[in-house]
Amino acid sequence: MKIIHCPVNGPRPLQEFYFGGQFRAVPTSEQEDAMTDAEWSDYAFNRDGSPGIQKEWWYHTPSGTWFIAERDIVTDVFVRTYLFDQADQESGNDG
Amino acid sequence: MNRSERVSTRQSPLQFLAAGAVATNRVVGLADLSLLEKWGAKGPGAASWLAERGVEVPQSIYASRPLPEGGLVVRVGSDEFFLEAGQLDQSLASFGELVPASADFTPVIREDAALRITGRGSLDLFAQTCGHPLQQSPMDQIIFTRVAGVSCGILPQSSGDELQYRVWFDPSYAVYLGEALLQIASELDNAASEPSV
Repeated sequence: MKIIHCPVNGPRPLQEFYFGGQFRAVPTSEQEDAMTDAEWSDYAFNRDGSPGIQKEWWYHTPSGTWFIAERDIVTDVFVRTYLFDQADQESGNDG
Repeated sequence: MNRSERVSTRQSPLQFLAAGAVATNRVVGLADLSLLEKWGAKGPGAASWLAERGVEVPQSIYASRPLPEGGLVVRVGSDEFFLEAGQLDQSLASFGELVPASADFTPVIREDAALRITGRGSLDLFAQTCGHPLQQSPMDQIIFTRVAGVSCGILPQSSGDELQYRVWFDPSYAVYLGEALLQIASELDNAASEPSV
C-alpha cells in the first residue's frame, strides 16, 4: 500500500487522497491585464510534464486538508509535503 | 418555544440498526447514536465563546474533552470545534440561537450520522474496512480516515476495560456504511460461534 504523509494527519494510505493537479502560481491582476490570448490559453490548457520533481496540490479527503506535495513524477516518490503557507517547513515524505 | 417544549422530529439514517445492534456478548456491537444533538463552531472567537459557556476547550488539534453534562467536544481544526451532547442533554439544541450576529465565528449545523462500535472484534472490523492502524492510535484523539471508502471521524475511547470507537460520517452514506459494517460484524459473530476444528 502506498503511503502519503499528510502534513496534518500523518502517514495515510493513498486511497485517502485526491490529486488536485499541478501547483502553479495564479497570475496577479496586473499580469492578467498584460496577458495575450495566447498566454491565457497556454495558462489555462497546458501543463508542464517534464520529468523530475513537480509541485502538486493534494487533498486529504477525510479531514478536508489541502496541501502541497513535491513529487518525482518519474519514480512517483513523494519528496516532501507541506501546507501552502508552510513552504519553508518540511513535513515528511514516503521515501 | 422554550427548551423543554422542543419536540425532535429527527429520524436517524441508521435506525435500521436498532433491531440487532444492542445485543450483548457480541464480538462487535454497533450502536446508532445519530440522534444525539450535534453542533459546530468555526472561527477565531469560537474557543473563547465556548469557554464562557463552561465548555473545557481542548488545546491541541484533534483532542477531545467531555462536556459538563455528558457528551464531548472535539477540536477539529485550529479554530474549529465539533460538539455532541450526551444522551440526556439537549443544551446544544439552543447553542446556535445564543450566538450573537456580531460573533467572530460561525455556528455550523451538524447532522452527522454517528455510531458507537464496541466489542473485542472492533479492531478486526476496522482491519477489514480501514487502512489506518487504529490499534496504534491514542485514546480521545479523533482520527480522520476512511472506513469502507467513506470519510469518517473516529474517536477511540476507553470505557472501563473495553475500548470503544465513536464514528461520525456524512448521513448520506449511513445506509451503505451501516449495512456494510453490520454484515462484517455478523460474519465476525458467526466465525466466533463456529466450533473450532
